[in-house]
Amino acid sequence: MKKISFRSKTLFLALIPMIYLYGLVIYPFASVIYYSFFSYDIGGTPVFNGVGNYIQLFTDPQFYRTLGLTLSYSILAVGAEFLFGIGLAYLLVHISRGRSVATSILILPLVMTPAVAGIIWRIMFDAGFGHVNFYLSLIGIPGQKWLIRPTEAFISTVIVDVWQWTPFVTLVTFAGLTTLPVELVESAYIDGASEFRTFKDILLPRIRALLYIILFLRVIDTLKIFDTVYTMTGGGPGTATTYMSIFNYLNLMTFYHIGYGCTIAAFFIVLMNVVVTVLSKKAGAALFAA
Amino acid sequence: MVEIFLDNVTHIYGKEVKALDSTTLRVENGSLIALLGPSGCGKTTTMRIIAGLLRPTSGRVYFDNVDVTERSSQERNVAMVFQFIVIYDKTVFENIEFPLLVRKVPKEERIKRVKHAAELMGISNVLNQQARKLDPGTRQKVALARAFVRQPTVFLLDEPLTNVDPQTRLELRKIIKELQKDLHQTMIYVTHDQAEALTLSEKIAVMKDGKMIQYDTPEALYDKPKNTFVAWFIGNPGMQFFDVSLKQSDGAFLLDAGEFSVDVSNVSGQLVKYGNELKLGIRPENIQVSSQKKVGWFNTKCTMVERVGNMHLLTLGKGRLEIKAKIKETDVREGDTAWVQFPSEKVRVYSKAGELII
Repeated sequence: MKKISFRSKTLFLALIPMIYLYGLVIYPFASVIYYSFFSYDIGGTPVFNGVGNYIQLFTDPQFYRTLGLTLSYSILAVGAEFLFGIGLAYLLVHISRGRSVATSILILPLVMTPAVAGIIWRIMFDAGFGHVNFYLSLIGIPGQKWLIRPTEAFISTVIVDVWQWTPFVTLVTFAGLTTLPVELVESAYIDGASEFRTFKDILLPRIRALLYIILFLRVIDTLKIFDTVYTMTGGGPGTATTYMSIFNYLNLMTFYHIGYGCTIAAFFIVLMNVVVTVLSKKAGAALFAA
Repeated sequence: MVEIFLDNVTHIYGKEVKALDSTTLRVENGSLIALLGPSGCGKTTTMRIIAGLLRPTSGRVYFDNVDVTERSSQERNVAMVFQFIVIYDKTVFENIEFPLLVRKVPKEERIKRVKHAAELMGISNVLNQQARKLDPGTRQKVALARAFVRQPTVFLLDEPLTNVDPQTRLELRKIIKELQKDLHQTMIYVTHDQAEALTLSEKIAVMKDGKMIQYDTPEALYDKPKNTFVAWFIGNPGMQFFDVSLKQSDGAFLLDAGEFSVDVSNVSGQLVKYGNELKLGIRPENIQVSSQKKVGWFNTKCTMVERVGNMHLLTLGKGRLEIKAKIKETDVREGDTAWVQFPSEKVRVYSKAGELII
C-alpha cells in the first residue's frame, strides 16, 4: 500500500478550513442567492422567476416600513447606548470606591440570554400587571400601553436593547480609558481643563479606535436584532416591531415563502456588508492613526 | 514668577514608603534650579508636591510666602512638562492653544500667543499637522510650547529630555536656557542626568533616599561636594576615595594610604581632631600623570586606557589600590609605568562618615 506522505497529510488538513468555508458559508449563501430568483413556496416546486422577487421586494411597502423601522431602532438604540454607556464610564472612572461592585452589577444584563431577557421584559412591560407600570404609578405617572400600541412597543424594544447593551459600551470604554497614561489627565488638569473637558476633549479622542469598534459591533448587532424582540413582541403589535430579521423569519418560517424569504435575506446580506465595510474602514483608519 | 519655599516637607506613600524626608528648599524668584539624583531619590515626588498633584504628608509649600499647600495645581497656576511626552489628539496649533482655550482667552490673543510659542520652539512649520504623527522630539517641543504659551507662576520640567533624540536634546536644552534668561521665570528641572543639570541650572539640589543632600551652585557641587555621595555622583566618573590616615613625618603632615601619601601640612590643623580614619577624595581629571619619573610623584602600573570623547581615562594600579585618572593627552600605554601626583589643592578630605572636612 502506498504510504501517505507528510506533505499530503498537511494538504489534507489545510482542506478542513476550506470545507468549512464552502460547506457552512459559501454553500448556504449561494443557495440563498439561487433561490432568491425562484418563485418557491413550501410544498410547491421552485419556478424560475428572474428578478421578479426583487421587483416584489422593492415595491413592497412593508419592506420599506421594515427597513425604516430597523434603521430607526439601530440609530436610537446605539445612540442611547453610547450616551449612557460613555456617561457611566465617566462616572466609573471618577468613583474611588465600589468600582468592582458597580462593575459586577453592570455586567448582569450582559450575561442574560437575549431570548430570556425578551420574555422577562414582556412580563415587565405588561400593561395590566407589569412592573414598569406599577413603578410608574408609584411616582404618579399613569400606566402606558407598552406592548399594545405601536409606538410604545417600538420604544419598549429600544429600551430593552439599551438596558442590555449599555453596560457593554460602559465596560469596554472604561477598560480603554484605564489604559491611558496618567500623565495625560494630569497634564490636561494642569493646563486648566475641568474633569469633564479632559474626558471629552482629551481622553475620548485618544480611544477613538476603540469607540469605532464598539459602534461597529453595536450597529451590526442592532441591525440583525431578532431574539429579544421576537420573544417580547413577536414583531407586533401589527408590524410595529417587525425588524428586518423578523420580517425575513416570518416570510420564511411562518408564511413559507421560501423564494421571497431568500430574496429578503440576500438583500439583508448586501446591506450588512455595506455597513460592515464602511464601519470597519472607519475603525481601521482610527486604529491605524492610533 | 514666584519664590518657592518647601518647609520641612515629608511625603509617605501608603503607610511605609518614605519618598521625601523633611525636605527644605528655597527656589529664588526667577531662577532655574535642578533636582538631581538617582532613580527613587524623591525628586519627582518633590516636583509633584510643588505642582500640587500630591499633598505632602507633613510640611508646607509656599509660593511668595503664601501657603499653597492645600491649593490645587490650577489654583497655583503652574505649568508642567512630563518625561512621558503628553500630546493631545489634536493638531499642533490646537495642542498649544488648549490651555488658553480653557481659560477663555480671546481668539486673536490666542492665535498671537500660539504663534509666538511655536516660533520659540521652532515648530511654526508644523502648526497644522496632527501632533501625534510627529517624531518624539517635535512632540516634546509641542508639549513645551503648551507650557510656555501661558504665563504660569512656575515651570516644572520633569525629565523632559529623557525620551528625545540626542540632537533635539541639545537643541531643547539651549531653548530652555534662553527662554529662562529672557523670561526670568522660576523653573524647576528634574533630571538624573548631571550634564543637563550642570549646564542648565543656576543651582542644583542633589537628592538621595528622599533627602536633600546639598543645594548649591554647580561649581560648588563640583569643587566642594558636601559629602562623599555628592562627590561620587557629580562628575563622569565621579570623585574617587581612598582610606587614609594622618601621619607625621619629618615635621610634615601626610595623608597616608599605605601605597602612597599626600602632603597636607598646610591644612593639618583641621584634620587632627578627626583622628586617623579619613577618606581622601580626588577627581580623576585632577590627577596628574606622566610617563617620566618626577620628584615627589609615585609610580603606578597602567592597566587600561579608555578613550572618553577627547579625553583618556587611565586605570592605574598601585598595590591593592586602583586609581582612575582622566587626562587630555598622554603617552602612557597599557602595561607602562605611570608616575602620578595628587595636587594638594585639589585633594578633598572627608570624615569616616563621609562628611567634607576640607
